[in-house]
Amino acid sequence: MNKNVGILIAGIIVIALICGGVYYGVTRNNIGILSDGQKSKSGEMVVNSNDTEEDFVIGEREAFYTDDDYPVVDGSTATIPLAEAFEAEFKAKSVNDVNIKHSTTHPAYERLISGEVDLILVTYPSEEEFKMAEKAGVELEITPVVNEAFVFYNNILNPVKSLTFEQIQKIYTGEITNWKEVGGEDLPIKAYQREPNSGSQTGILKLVMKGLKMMDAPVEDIIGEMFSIISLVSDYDNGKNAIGYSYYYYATTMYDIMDKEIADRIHLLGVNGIEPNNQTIKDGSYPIRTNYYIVINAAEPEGSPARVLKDRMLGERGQKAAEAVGYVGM
Amino acid sequence: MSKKVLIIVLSIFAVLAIMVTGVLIGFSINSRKGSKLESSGDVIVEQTNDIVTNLREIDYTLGIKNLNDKFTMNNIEIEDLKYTEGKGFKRYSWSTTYDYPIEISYFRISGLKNKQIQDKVNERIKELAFNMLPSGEAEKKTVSVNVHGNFANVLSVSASYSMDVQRKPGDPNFNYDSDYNRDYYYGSCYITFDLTTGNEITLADVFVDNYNFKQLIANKLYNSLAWDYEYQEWIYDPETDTYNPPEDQGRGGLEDRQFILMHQFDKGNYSFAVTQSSVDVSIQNAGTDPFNPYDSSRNVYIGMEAYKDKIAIFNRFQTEQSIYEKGDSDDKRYYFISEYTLKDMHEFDDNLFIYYNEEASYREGYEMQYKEWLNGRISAEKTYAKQNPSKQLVEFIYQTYDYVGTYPDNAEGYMINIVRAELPKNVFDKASGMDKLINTIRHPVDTEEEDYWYYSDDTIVESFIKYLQDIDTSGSLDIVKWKNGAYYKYDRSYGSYREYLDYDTFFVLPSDEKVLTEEDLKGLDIEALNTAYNEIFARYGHDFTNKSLRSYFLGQLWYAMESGKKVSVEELSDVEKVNLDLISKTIAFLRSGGVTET
Repeated sequence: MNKNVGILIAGIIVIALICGGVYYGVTRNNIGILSDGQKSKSGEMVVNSNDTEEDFVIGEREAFYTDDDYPVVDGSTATIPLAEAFEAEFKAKSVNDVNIKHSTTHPAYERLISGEVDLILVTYPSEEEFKMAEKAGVELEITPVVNEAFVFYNNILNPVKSLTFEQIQKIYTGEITNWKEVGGEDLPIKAYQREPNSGSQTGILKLVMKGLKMMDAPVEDIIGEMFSIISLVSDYDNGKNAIGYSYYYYATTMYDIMDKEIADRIHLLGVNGIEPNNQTIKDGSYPIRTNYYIVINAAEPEGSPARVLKDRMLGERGQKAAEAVGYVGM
Repeated sequence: MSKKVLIIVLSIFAVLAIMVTGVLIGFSINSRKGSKLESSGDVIVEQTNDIVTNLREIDYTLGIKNLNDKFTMNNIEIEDLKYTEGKGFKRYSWSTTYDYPIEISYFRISGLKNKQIQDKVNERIKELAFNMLPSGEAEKKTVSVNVHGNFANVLSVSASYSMDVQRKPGDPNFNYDSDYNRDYYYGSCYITFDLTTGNEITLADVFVDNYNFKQLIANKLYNSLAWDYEYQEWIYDPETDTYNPPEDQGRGGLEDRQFILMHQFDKGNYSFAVTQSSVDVSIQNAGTDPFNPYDSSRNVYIGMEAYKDKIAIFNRFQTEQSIYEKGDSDDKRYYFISEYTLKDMHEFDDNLFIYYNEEASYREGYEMQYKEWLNGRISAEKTYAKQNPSKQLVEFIYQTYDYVGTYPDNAEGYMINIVRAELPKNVFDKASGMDKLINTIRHPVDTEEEDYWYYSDDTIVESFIKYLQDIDTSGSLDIVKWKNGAYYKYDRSYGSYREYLDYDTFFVLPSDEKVLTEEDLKGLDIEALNTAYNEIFARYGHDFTNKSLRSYFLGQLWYAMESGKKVSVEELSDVEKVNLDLISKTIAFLRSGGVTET
């Protein structure tokens, strides 16, 4: 009997100690203010706090390069995250540890042609760029690396959800001026444009207008004004009759346009009935599409650093890395 | 006791113990003041009597009830620290101070109950200061770490560095045609602490939960880029006789630049600080050449007032017990509308009204200094009113600030703005004028976009001025604006304000311009004459000991006091000496019971 009582007492003490330990352990770690679901990131003593999630897990990836032997890459503004994604993937680093600078499209072509860089990630060469290469005796080898689309958007309250390609052209030549002409309400179309040196303006001219003359937008409709087109189109009071445009990648990454607050007010217009999303862009059903390209000097020999990198970018790891940062893979 | 009983008893005890432990843990967590702040709905309405008691004889019902909540300033002490390396040198021959090759200015705080947390914060501040020091050879490197915001148990710190490098012959940028061969590098960043834990907070802590602040920042960033674009110099093309947009210098369009910077934001290459009026976000473009600062970083300012239902920082780190040794500060401020709270007004007979809003967010020392200045203005204008009985003087004084530091003498962080209008008498109706002012202040901006307080500032003033212009049927309205040291007078023919450098503000007498006669002194009482007497010295910057004179002159816009300076009669001009004599004789005459005609 004594033995059992002894065991009982011992058992009680042990359980009490365990519970006490759990209590203190939990409450000590909850110093500071906790609110449900939003804990402030503690302990991270860095100058720049990193709010974003990791783009992809840094696991047991094989590193192909170190910082010293990565080929020299340049490109357009819109391919900066792409170039970073590739470099991080192939060095087995985090994207946040890679910082690059692109010269923008035209200087990138210049540097490729002069031999200053090994490989560029850019939009399709223009007439001028082809001529420049020809003059230098360089043949450009151009290969698409990711898909891109040119998108139009309007306010969610606008009943018009899709336009034909021709209708879009006519809106911007000024032939169509009212939403009722395209199946909407009787409201004048406020067709904002961008300033001449912007990527999106170049895009609409090349991919949509194709030689047709864009109307002169009234001064207040040219965006050099204070507000981004997205904020104007999404405006509760005044956005209903507005239409804007951009590259799919810009719109989706800058504004997370596929969800959250902006999506509540912005609608990506379908073109010829097809709405733009990763699938329709990849499979080609969305009609206003383009690509970003890897461009190298065609004279690069087999197995050269540029060619090897190019193959890696087009390969599975490269494409996965590109998609992880929001591009539409091939 | 049988084994069976033993097991049953132990099991029951174990279950009870687990339940009790769970309940205790639950209570422990809930007792901390972590409130889940949803957007809107959590605004605490507190009525205060402060405003009501300071108003006199004016219709109080117009927007007086102040429904804004208050927060407390942090009750900590700041001690400035400086580290130097190398031998002091005078950068320029006329310098009065020494520069050092390396100078790191930072600070440490004291006054927190929890010394571990205090040490942690101070360590981090010091680490930041020393880490900011750029590497490389340079003539001079400076790091400066300062308090940027200090309220509601949050401490924001700004840090910046600059580096001067002398170029050498052979350097590609060396300019052989010039003596000027220096490269400047600079950069900055912020960190923000939660003083209840000593940890650095994230941007998400500033806003209410689940708010998509990235959208807000993307739009504000665009605003900022577009603003610059708008005001850059456009290039004239004589062939087409038009102006063309500024060269983009290879940076691409606005959307492209916005994209580059938002990409950096996504990567976490940004820092932020909070002040009582704004959230300041600095996005670093990590890929750019630090020598070319354009777009190497970009600041975005989010005005707290416009987004008040999205801002959670004033409540986020509240505690039930004070975390300060001296207890919570008495220094309570209003949320958001503090700079426009109409807290005090003065009225003098029917000639003169001065409305001013007491900027609620400044420390005691400055508050006293400001009151002294204000009293000085009031007495100056009283004298004016006596001399100009046919006019009505309306003066609106308001104070705006850049950001609030915690140093009592950080007066240069503030700007005094004055709108001074001389109207024909009886034109200004105080009730409707007051109405106009309050309504403009309470609704300074219409759209969500115009939230940076700079815009609000001018909107209020311009509304008030427009109102004055509307009521002035005589066309003789004289409006002068004084902002931060310069006069702007409304030029009717020009249709707007022009800097008015020769504006002779109010002097009792033009005692430096001409020899005065008894005629000129008619109508002035002893007080005014006494002022006129001292005014002669004041023009030279005399530092007055007498409190009321001191306060009067400090209220004068033209007065440029030189600390400690005592002006002697010998320094005055001949004209001034003669006038001095006349004035003192007149005072003596009046004191002995004499009377001058009025």
